[in-house]
Amino acid sequence: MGKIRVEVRYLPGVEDPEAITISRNLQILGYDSVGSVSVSKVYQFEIGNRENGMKQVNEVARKLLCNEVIQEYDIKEE
Amino acid sequence: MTSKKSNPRSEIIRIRDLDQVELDTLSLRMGLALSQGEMSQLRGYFRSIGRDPTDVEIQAMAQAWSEHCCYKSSRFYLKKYLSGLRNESVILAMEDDAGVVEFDGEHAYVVKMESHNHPSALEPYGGAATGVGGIIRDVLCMGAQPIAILDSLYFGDPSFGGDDRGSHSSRFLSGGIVRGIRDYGNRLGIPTVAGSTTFDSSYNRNPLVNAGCIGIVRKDHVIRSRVSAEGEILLLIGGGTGRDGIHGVNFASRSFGHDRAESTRSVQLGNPIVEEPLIHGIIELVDLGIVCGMKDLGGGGLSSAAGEMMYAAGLAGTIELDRVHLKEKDMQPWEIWVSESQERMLVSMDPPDLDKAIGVLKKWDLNYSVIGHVTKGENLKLTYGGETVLDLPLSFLTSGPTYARSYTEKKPDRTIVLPEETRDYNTLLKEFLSSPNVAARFRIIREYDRTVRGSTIISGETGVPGFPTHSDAAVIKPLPDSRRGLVLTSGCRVAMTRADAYAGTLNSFSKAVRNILSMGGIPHSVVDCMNFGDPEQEDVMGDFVSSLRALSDSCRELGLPVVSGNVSLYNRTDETNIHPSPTIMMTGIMEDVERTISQDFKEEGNNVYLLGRMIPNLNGSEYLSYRGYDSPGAPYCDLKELSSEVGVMHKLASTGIIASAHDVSTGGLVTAICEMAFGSGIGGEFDLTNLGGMRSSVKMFSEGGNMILLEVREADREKFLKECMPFEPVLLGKTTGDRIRIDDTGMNLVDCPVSSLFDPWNSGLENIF
Repeated sequence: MGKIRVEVRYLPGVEDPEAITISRNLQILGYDSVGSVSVSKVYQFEIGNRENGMKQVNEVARKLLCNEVIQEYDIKEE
Repeated sequence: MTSKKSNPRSEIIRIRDLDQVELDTLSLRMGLALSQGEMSQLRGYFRSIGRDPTDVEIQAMAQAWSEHCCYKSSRFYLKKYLSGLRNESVILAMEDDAGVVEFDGEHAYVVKMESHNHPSALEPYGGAATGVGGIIRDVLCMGAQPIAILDSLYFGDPSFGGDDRGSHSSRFLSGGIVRGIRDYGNRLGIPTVAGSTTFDSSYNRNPLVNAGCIGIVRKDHVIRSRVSAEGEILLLIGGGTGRDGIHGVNFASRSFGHDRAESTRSVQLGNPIVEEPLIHGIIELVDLGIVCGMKDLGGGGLSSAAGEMMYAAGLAGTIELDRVHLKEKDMQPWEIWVSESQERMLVSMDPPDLDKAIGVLKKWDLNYSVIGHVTKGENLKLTYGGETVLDLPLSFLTSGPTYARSYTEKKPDRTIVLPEETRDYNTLLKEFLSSPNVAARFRIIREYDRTVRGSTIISGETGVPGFPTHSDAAVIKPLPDSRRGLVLTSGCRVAMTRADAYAGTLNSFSKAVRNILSMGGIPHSVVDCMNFGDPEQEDVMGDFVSSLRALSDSCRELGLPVVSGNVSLYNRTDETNIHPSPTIMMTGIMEDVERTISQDFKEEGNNVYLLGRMIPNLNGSEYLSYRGYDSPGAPYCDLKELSSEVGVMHKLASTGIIASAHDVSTGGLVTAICEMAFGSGIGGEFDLTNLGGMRSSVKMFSEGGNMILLEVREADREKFLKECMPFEPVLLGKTTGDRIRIDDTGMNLVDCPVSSLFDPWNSGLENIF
């Protein structure tokens, strides 16, 4: 059994309303040393067979988890 | 879209020395989507002025000359058939970003429909969402408060599973499109109230998203899409300018090939959270009376908006590109100029009003930049980092070629196809009612907020609690202190236009008219949204011309103006063109929304009449496709009959004797009867004998012509028949019980409980949405 971690985030240049809202509110609250914020989503998968599992998670990430028009993803084994 | 990492600056493109092959390579490399002829025209121009252009200039020209911006293939025919279709209620037709029509003494309504087909094929969610955002800004930029959204959607065969060349499955596309419209419209707080959904395999790789919007404005607050005087400053308000949507219009001006993945950066990204305050902020600026001219930044971005605003006023201007607020660093000047980033408006105002404007924009948390000013003269000048990067006459920049493309209209085919009669209509009807083009659209419309703003009288769903059915059109009461209403509908009879574009457009028009009449309204204005395939093919162009001709004939006969429109061409993937899809959006007026008629049967014992002549064949009907036959042609509508129906229905609606009304369209007479019964659970006994000597299947499922079903109380019978003159409506039967029974010439065809027909109809789209 292994674990695979998929992180999906916006491509550079895509406006992220959630991150903009967080950073604006941090400024209002006085956290003046915090610069820009970005938000990403992490999925964790447990897999049986390493090679097949990796292949399938890759496909799942590309087809289901990530909208490649506006997002990109990373896959890491843990 | 790739960009250079070096410092942004403009480059000179040595176009004057290039030969034809090198011009083609240049067009391809820069993503211009211009033809050989157009590229050599450009080269000729720069040779004539004795210098080479900058990349900003070339990109600006490519954008201005795209099909999307200059309507090069359609302009000639649009002018020929649709110009001059106006009447005394029209304030602005086909001039600015949206049509403006008188609503009452003080107010006007603003209306527009636009396609967002190409982006939605690649990224359905974002493409459809930004389609909604864009159409709302078109209405907003006339100074109007947007009050309702409509959408006409055309999806592929529900069983299409996509292909290995990057086309998505129908379920993925249709689901994404509906969610995109939902999330954008609902978050803005503007109700999505009406529209249509059609399934056909010609849309498998090319779904169509036609979004319409209507707004309301005081007549003295209408803002023109042009600057008004020298010295005005230009304010860019709203979202930042980014690299999204670059070359959107260029790629919408050609067919899909094998490069879908590369086209993805042409899709604009929507952010309703920015558009919502933008609407408030703009309306407040308009109310303050400090907006001189305004345009929304849609396809073509700043390049198209700024140029057109100045040229329309006979003025020119200077713009500093480095003042534009950006989403991304290091954007090239040409990218800033042609970016199609969303949620942006360009406003011109007198410099002393700037402080007041800034106050309003800060209040609504809106970003803005003062990017330039209006000058006298002929040339638009752009600077970046102090250097001039564009200096061209606006007359050249906004001109664009016009093609009177050759066309072949299809000859009407009068062959009639009649499938074998079935013995078991009870079973057939249940299956037919659950087919994708007939089944209930609740799965789609219930995703939308249809009542926000509190002005919706009826949206797409009506009926008594527990018995939902569809309404023919939406009724909106736009003003708080007036009971005057707007009636809205949009759609296209694709089963007919595919067989005969002229006849199909007549029928689409007739349906829109009858939709409005069935709600108790009077048709008032028309907006067209013409979706066709590749205009370089003569038969496609022929369908386009046929369709325009039909629209023109219909509007002239009924005295209706065409107030705004949109053309989307090149809806083709590989060798497959979409079927002709001219969406007709129609707005009606209702003097008092309390007189709204709904579609559900109201009580037992009422008479049900058919108004309008039945056309004795099945061509162009859903039933024929359901039985697996192609329609050789489509029936023609009698426009004179339709015009008389308007008068008769107006009289009937004002007497209040219509208990319910429903137009007969997709699925024919029997489907219309069922839909009326679904809204209350009240059934009826009907006899089709009086319709004359036709096959039973024709009487049940024929769709052409101008038929409306009317429910009238027995006590009102004589008054009704008198008001109907010169029509002699056919009495079909009475409402009674909870079963639908249909007989013809002594034979029983259908005898089923209403609920047993409702269930398959209601669940027909369950496997798709």
